[in-house]
Amino acid sequence: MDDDRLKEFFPGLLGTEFEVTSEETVEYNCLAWAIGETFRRWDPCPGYYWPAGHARDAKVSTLVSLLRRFGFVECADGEPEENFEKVAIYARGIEWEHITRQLEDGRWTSKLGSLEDIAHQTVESLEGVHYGGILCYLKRPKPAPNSLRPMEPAL
Amino acid sequence: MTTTTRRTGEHLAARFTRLRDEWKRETAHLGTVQRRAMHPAYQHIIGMGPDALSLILEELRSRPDDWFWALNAITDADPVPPSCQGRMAEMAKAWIRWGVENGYIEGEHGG
Repeated sequence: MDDDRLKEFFPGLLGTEFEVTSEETVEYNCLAWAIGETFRRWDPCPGYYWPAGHARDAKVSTLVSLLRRFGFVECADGEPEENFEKVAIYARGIEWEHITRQLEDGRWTSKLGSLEDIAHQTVESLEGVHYGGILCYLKRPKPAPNSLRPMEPAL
Repeated sequence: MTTTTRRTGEHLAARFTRLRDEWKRETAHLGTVQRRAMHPAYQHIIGMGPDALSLILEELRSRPDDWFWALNAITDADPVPPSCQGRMAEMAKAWIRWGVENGYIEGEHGG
């Protein structure tokens, strides 16, 4: 999708720097991308991948609970912190709409639905009618080099 | 096939194509399946009922996308094994196999 069309969906991208960093694909979605996977879609809808033990609903509280299981804890803001990776949850009301992950350089990386991944300068640039607003931030320690992060820790 | 039946099929196919294009154009950027499935065009496709199954399954065969909600809503079936959940190509294969077994689409014949 061309940049102008992306700006139509997300007017907050106007006047800020962003970069398309992948091809369009349906193979993974924003939550998978935020967690660090690119081979399946994480979604509470029946038939999609959703870690066992969590309610299949789109409530922010459910998503936060799921992220805690993967090592995240809530934090105050999206300011870069050494040795931590952060995510931000966008929501409308009590349901989440999107999640983005912070890059090493302080920018944010988002998988836009079934479209491309983009790297965007500000976390606020995707706020609006489609994703709502940022409801909370979470962080977890960055994995040590060459270490494997367990994909589905035990409950 | 009678002329009336053929015309009805063409009408259904044209309607499906129009709704599919509208749904993809207006929801491809959305982050959750639930939000995509709530789009009016998608709901109209579900409203087409079993008549839409062959069209959805052929679409799934050529371009996997979030058609699983609609398929489940129309059929009440869930042929995706847990090990394939979220893997779009595998989910599509499970539904296409179901569609062939239940007579909605023809199997692909290798050459």
